[in-house]
Amino acid sequence: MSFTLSLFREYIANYLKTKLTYRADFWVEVLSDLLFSAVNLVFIFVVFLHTPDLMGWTEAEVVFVYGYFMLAFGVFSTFFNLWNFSERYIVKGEMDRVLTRPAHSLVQIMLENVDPPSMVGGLVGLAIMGTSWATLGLPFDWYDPIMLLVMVIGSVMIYGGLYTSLAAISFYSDAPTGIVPLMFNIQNYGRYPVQIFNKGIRFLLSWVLPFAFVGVYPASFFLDRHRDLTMSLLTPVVGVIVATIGLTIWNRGIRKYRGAGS
Amino acid sequence: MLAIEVNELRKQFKVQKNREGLKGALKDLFKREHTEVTAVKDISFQIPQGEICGYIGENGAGKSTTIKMLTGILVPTSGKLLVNGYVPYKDRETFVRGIGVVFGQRSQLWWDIGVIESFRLLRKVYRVSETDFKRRLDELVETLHLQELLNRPVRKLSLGQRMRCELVAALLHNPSIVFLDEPTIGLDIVVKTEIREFLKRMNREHGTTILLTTHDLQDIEALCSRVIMLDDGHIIYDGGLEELKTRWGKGREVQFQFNDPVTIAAVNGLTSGLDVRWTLENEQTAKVWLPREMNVSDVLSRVVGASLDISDIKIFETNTDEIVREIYQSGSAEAPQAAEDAIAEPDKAEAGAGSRG
Repeated sequence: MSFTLSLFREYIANYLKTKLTYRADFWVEVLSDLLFSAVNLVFIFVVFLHTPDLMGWTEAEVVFVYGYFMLAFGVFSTFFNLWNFSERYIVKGEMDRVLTRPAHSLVQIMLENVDPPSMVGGLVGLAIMGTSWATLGLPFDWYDPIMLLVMVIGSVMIYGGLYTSLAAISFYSDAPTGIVPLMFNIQNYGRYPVQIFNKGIRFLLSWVLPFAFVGVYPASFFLDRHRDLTMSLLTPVVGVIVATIGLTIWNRGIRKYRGAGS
Repeated sequence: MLAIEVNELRKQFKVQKNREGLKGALKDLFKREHTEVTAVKDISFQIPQGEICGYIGENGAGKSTTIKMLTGILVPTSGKLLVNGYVPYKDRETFVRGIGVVFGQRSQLWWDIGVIESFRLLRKVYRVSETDFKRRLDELVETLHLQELLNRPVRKLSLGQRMRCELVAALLHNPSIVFLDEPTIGLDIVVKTEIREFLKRMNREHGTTILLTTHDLQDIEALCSRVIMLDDGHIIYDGGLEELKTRWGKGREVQFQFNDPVTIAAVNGLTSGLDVRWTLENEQTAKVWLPREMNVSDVLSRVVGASLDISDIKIFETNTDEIVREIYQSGSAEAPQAAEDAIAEPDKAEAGAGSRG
């Protein structure tokens, strides 16, 4: 573990060395990330222009949940930038190089693609949570920061596990699958309180593709009015389970890796 | 001790069959058809420590697939595999710390950062201590003349410069076995020679075992004491380079350019009693073929000693290129005579393939 952390430091340092030479890129990426989130927030505001209350959820609460999602998603995107995994590592065969190096393959790929600009979105999410926290007049307990950390780690593990499994599919299948956009669409529902959806979607988001654990469940721990202690405390548990599944699929998939020609 | 031990190694790939036309594409949507392709067919060989072994074969013969299994990238379908005392795909992370890999067609270095930064990162990845790293780097940089390149980003290097850096990257952790997949591809003759010299030196000084694939037989001639030749997933030759030449070399040819027109009868008369064959190229030029065991000087002295005016003499030796081309074409490294017999008896060639020497 400490070895992985020291590697992480090296890779980040190298990232900075390269990326700082292309400063424009950095800011364009930050901006487009933020724009994407802004559009979603505006959507929330527009909805609440028409109704003060959505199945018992106020605007500030929904925004709080969204802020939590942004934070978790920001951290996730920083470390699991696996979007072009199949293209770059499988089709172009860069996996060959990764596999000849003495570190876990997934760790190497995460580090090679580490994407600090995404963290800015996470920080904005944190700021949004802070503002809503004040607006809602929520009490602040000493354990809240610790719990927030635990929740975020749990949520990131869920996302990480799901997307690792998705990336690992490319080990088995020749053709890139259209599954990623599908996941992306479903995950969009997770950032709003699941209670506003019907039973089927709620079940899907809680137990099949547990995106609700990257939004409303952990966030509700801090929202006294909606607190669901069982579900919120399940976040790290679900995180560990999903991450384990993801890692297992990855490790099995890697044995199926067949390399690119030549 | 053996560095590499391969026993009945086999690798099969499942390949998707794409049916033709729109109808076929629709069918594929519901039911995929697969075909099994066997890239490596139950090969066995052993490489002792400290040997430089050339691994050659046509494109698609299974060279890269073998190398990828030996380096832990691919999991074999069946067979036994022991490299440096490890089963490569099983203890991959520990195993790769003892090997170095260079793929000529693919870079190991980070594209945007300075070469030295890549090396530092690799030092971390391979957990090489700072002092070992410094000593090793200095040594490599000096032998490969990289001083000026160290701070340049990889994308600004020429292919030759990059390849030398790739070698350093693969050797920083002082591996005991090095796999080189076409290390000299696309390089000019100066860099090629430099790299060959370097590899030879490394083998001599550190006792590094080297397995290299190449299409450039000069690499083989310069480096390898042993050659393994692969064809369609089978080993068709495994043995010394000299042995290959003696067995396949078809003797030599000497070409004489005369000042006056000559006839075949006249030149035949010159070498009467010797087992040679003359051919007339044109009126003034004649070629004589002599078997390998015959001395060229025997023929020369007879011809030169005669009263004909000679303006030029050339000696042709069958080179490795030709030998290998011929073996590729026939698909078997059995001696030419045996290969001819095998046409009548196809099973025999099959049985002969894979046997050593």
